[in-house]
Amino acid sequence: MEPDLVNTTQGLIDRARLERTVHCTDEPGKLIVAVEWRLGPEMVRRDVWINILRGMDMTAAMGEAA
Amino acid sequence: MAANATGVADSFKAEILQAIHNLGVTVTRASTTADTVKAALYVQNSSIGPTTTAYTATGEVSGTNYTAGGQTVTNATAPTTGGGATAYWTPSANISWTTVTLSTLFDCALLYNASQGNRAIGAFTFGAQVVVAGNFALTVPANGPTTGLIQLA
Repeated sequence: MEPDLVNTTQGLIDRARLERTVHCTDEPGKLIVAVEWRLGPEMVRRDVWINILRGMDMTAAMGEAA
Repeated sequence: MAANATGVADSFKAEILQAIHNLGVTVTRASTTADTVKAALYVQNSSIGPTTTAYTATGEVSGTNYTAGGQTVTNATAPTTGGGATAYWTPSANISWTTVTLSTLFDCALLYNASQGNRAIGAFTFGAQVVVAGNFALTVPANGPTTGLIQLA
């Protein structure tokens, strides 16, 4: 069976060698998901998704979300 | 019994977003196609916000596979009204960067109109992030009167 490879700062690395942690952060109107991949102590990849849960109301006070 | 009522026309709100009305004296538009909207990312403490009037390279992130000026936003759905009086618009796809490395903490995305002098549309802030040889995406909300990315109630 072929290894499942992940693109990292050190090139393609077998996923089995990487430690993966997922961080979820709640913010008003947003949910942030970050996935960190480490090879030993070194972070070799980090992905981030900013999920915008609601938009901006143009009539709201400056800086306010809808 | 029907009655008259004072109020800004609901249709006017969506039509503002479509540049159908020009109440000023300077006509600057000739195209009938949708403008090109772009999104740029900014490092922490760059002073991007509601008072920003146009895209600026000052404070913009830089890194592997990030092009200055940012990413073109997919805009396949025209602004419309619904849910009563609210006009709304949302990009028709998520805004994403693939295999980027952005090592300096960044916490803001600026949407701007690349077809109209890079004029600002809106700024979105979030908890500061870095990206390492990975993907970064702004996942846009559902396009609706209470959820759309830009709402004019």
